[in-house]
Formats: sequence, C-alpha cells, structure tokens
Amino acid sequence: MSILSDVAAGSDVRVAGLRSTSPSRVSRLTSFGIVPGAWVHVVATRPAVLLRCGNTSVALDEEIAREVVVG
Amino acid sequence: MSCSCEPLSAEMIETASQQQPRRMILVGNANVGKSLLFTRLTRRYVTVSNYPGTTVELARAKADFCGELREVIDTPGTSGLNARSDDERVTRDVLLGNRDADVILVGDITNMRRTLLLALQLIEHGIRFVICLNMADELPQSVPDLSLLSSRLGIPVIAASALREWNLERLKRAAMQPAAGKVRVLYGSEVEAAVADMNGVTRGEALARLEEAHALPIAAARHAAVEQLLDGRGDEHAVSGFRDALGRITMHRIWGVPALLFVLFIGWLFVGKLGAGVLVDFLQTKVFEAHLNVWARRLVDALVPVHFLRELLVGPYGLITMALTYAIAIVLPVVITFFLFFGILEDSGYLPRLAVMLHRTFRRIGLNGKAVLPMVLGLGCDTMATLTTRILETKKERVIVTILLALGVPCSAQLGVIIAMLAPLGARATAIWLFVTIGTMLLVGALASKVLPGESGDFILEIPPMRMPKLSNIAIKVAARTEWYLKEAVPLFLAGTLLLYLLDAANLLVRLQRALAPLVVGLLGLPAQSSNAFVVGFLRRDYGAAGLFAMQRAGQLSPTQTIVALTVITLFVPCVANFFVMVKERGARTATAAALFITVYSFGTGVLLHAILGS
Repeated sequence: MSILSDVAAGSDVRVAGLRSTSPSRVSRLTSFGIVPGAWVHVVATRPAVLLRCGNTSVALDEEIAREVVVG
Repeated sequence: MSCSCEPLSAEMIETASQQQPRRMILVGNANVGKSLLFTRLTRRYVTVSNYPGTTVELARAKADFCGELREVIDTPGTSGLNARSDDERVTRDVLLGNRDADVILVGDITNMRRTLLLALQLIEHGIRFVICLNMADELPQSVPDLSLLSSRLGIPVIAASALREWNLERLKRAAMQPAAGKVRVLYGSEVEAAVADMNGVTRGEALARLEEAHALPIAAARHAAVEQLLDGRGDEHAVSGFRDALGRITMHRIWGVPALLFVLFIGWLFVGKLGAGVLVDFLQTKVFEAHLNVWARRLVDALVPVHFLRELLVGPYGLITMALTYAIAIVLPVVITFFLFFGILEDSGYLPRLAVMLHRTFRRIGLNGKAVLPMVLGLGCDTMATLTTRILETKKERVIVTILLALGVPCSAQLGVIIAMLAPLGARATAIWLFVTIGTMLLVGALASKVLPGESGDFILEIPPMRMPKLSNIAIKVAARTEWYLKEAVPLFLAGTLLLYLLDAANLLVRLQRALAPLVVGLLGLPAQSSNAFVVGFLRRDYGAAGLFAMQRAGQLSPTQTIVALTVITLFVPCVANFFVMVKERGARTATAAALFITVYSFGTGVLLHAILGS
C-alpha cells in the first residue's frame, strides 16, 4: 500500500481507497473514475499530478493525491 | 438531411412556436460535444437566457424532429445529479422540473464509463431518455456493436458524430421514443435500508440525499455496475499520437514553459501587432481621421446651425469625433482579435493545460489552476470575467479573483492602447510596467489570501484532448462576445464624452483640473490636462487610457510621465459596468471596499513610481 502522490510517473496503479473526509472531494474524484478497484495511469507528477483513467485525463493537486491510497 | 418524413418549413416552426412545444433536454458530462450537437440539431432560432436566479446560461431553440416540433434545451455539463455547483444545480432542476420532457443523454463514445455512470443516475430518477454516444469520429476503429449494451440498459443507444453530422437523423428518430431503463444498482444493506426508510421520494432522490454520507459505497457500486454492463471491456485509447504528444508537452514541467511563451508570442503578434497595431492604425488615421471625421464635420457644419450642438457632435469632445472614433477605431479591432485568439485557445483545449502550468503560482495567492479561465478572459473583458468567477468553488477565491481582475488585468481595449503606448518607449518601460502589474497581482493576491477568511477550492480538473478548433464555432462565439462588449462599452463611451463635453462647456473641466492638480501635477508629475483621462477613467479605464494615448501622440507626455500615467490607469477600476457587476456578484460592501482600495493603491503606486523614476 502506498499513496498516489508517491507513485513514479509512467506507472499503472490500482486504487485501493480514498482517505478524504470531504464528501464533495470524494464524489468529484469518483465521478472521474477514481474509485477503489479502478486502474489509473500516472502520466506526470509535476507541475500537478496528472492521471489517466480510461480515456479521461485528470489533473490533481498534490495534496489531494495524498488522500488516494493505491496498492 | 434525409428525414423519412416531411420536414417543417420555417413558417410552420414560426407559427407552431405560438403554442408550447414538447421539450427535448440535452444532458451530459462536460467536453462531450453537447453544444455542437445542440447547434447541429437546431440550426436556428437559438435564444440564450439566464436560468432564473443564476448567471448560468441555458440555450434553447425550436427544432424539427421528423415533422414534430420540439423545444431543445442545452444544459451545462454535469458529472452527476447531486448538484455540487451552480451549473449542476441548474441541470438537475431543468431535468427534474420537466418530468414530461424527452431527454437525450450525450456522451463521449471513447469514454463510455462516465456516460453510463450518468445513465444509471437518470434511470434511478425515473427519467425517460435515449443515449447518444457522440464523437464517433474520434474512434480509432469502427463503431462497436451497441445493441447488447442497449438491451441490457433498456435504453436506445445511438453512436453519432456531431462534427461529421453522422447518424443525427437516426438519433432524432430514436429520441422521439425514449425509455425508462431497467437496470437497478444494489448498494449494500446499509444504503438500501436508508433508501427504504425514505418515503415519498424517488429512488434517485433518496440516493442523492444519501451521497453526502455514503459517497464512496454508492460510487463503488455504480462503477461495478458499469463494468458489468461493459463486460469489463476497456475504453479504447482514442487520441492520436501527435495530439497526445502535443497535449503533454504543453503541460510538461519544463517544456510547458517555452510552449506557454510561444502561445503568448503568437497572441502578442495577433492581438498586439495585427489588432492594436496595423488595424487600429488603419482605422484611426486612414478611415476616421482622413475621411469619416472630415465628412462628419462638413455634414454637421452644413446641417446643424447651433454652435453648441455642432460641438457636441464633432468638437474636441464630440460624440462622433471622440466617442465613436475611440470605440470603433481603437477598441473594436483589439476586442475582435483578442476574442478570436481566446476562442482558439478555448476550443483547442489549451486553457486547462495552462491551468495545470499556473496551478502552483496561483496556489500562492489563495487560488488554484481553475482561476486561469476568468483571469485570461479578463484580458478580453473584466466585466464578463467577473461573471465567470462563479466557476470557482469558494467565496474566498471569487473575491480574490474579482479584486485581481479589477486591479491588475487590463481588458483587451485597454491592452491595445497600452501596447500602442509602450511600443515607442522600448524594453525598459515595458519591463517596468510588467513588473509593477504582475508584482501587484502576486502581492495583493498573497495578502488577500492571508487576510480573507475561508478556504480555497479543490484542484481536480479534467484535461480534454487537444482538438483542432472549428472556425464556425469560434466565429459564433466571437460575434456573441463582441456584441456583448459593444453593448457594454459604446453607451459608456458616449456617456463619458457627454460628461467631458458638459464639464468643458460649463467651464468645470478647468476647475476640476485645478482641483486635481496637487495630486496629478504635484505627486504624479503629470500635465494638468491628464486629469481628463482620469475623470473618464472612472467610467471606463480603457477610455482613460485612450485619452493618455492621444496626449502621448501629441507629444504632451515624456517617456517617464507615460509610464507613470499608464501604470495608474492600468491598476484603476476597469469601468462602471465592472463595478456594478462586482456589486451584483459580491455585494455592495465588498465591491465598495475593493474599489476604494484599488483607487488608493493605483494612485499610491503612481506616486511611488514618480518618486523613484523622477520626471
């Protein structure tokens, strides 16, 4: 288990959980396909964390990426 | 257009629109080509209006659906029906407030999962709809068979391409017979028990209320259901290699910087050189000064016998010779070239990438990358940009952006004048102006983010693929924005000129100049006459800047005086319209406090600059 912000650019990881306490943040992340069980591809980590889930590309603040547990 | 049935003629649509036709609502995620589909389905009679009580725009148009008339409504892009933002609330209210309407759920065929997530929510709300999987032209392979998916959902699913106008007639026919769907997602015992406890609401409404407390289990169950519907088949990677690479370079932590500089350079060439240089020069000297104003003077001299009225029209503060010359010759070319450039940036998908690049800088001033849209739009029109601050999540961010727009972001009209004034002064003057303006935004933003209470919003932003902008789409937007701008600006130009004329006629202008002399002449080191620019600057700062431009051209301002005057007018409150929008959006107290602060700050900076630079 590690957190998304620690994953190197170019890797594929499986989402294990979301540690966020904000419901709006959780529902925004899940609407982009960032849900437990889903595979995401980490495209870049700077200047923001850039993910690809399916055909959706999403940019996240590093702090939010810290709340995504991957394994 | 190969409809199997007789299409309605324009007159029939006109007559039939007297009665209220059945409604057809388009919903879908953002970036799925919904608006283009709307344009393709309707083609004419579009009206754009604000949803009651909000600034969210709804486009409506009458359209012929196989011989029957429908009122098509385009809703803002949404990612769910639980109304997290103004946009989403409007979409939800339109959907749930028109239970007898037909609905088309528009999705991106390369991104079926997100479309299906929305479809499951529509089914739970008992909405009757069809699914249009748009952007079939972007599929790398042929369109997959959708009949299994359709029968599993119990909803007609049609692949289409709004861009290539493929399958739209089939979509129209299908949309006449929407279905309620038959998939039922089970959410586990805890959520299901809570749903069962809520009487008198639909399953969808009950789940929407439970999302606050059970966001993750609800989302996970929906995703699992979508995977089942698709048999775990992945969405094919659709973006071509070149566009993908281009998209990545523009937000690369190193290569993104030269890419940004390149975009800025193109913008400067297009708006600065072509718009503010070539076109303004041509219109001002060749068209207005050499011909139109000469003719106008002759005509007025011949037809108007009263001196007072003649001066009002064609005098030094004349409505034609001053107001219209400024509005059309100086402002219009810059506004049009800027909105063209902005439209290309918008439709190419570059702006979200710019948001990623600037996110860290913006975080220091209490904002996040999403603030890029209102800030860049502010370079077109600050009033319009202040209205778009609603896309920001928190009140704190909205207040910060409102202040920064009013303070440091010159609108296109003003920018044109500024570029023209800086051109003869050279690099040092430009560097000073840039340093003061950008420094001001960073300083005031950082202070505001410390002083103002509240939180900044989350930076979670979808990055759509880079796309080739469609000229017809951009042309529509440029026309709408330019029209909006002219309606805002020209009346104020006329009012400002009238004010100057009346002050001059009553001999008050000289007195006002004398009254302002200690500040303008003493502290800023400017000629007394430049007070005129600041007086009209209260109405519109670009108009004020245009006055300074005229003085510089007439050799009445030294290079140092130009820099000081230019800096003050740049940092000034944009215009009366912007102030009213600030009052409307942020409240009278915040707006007045901001305007007072900006006035003091802009003159204070000018005084400081004069003290440093000398005269």
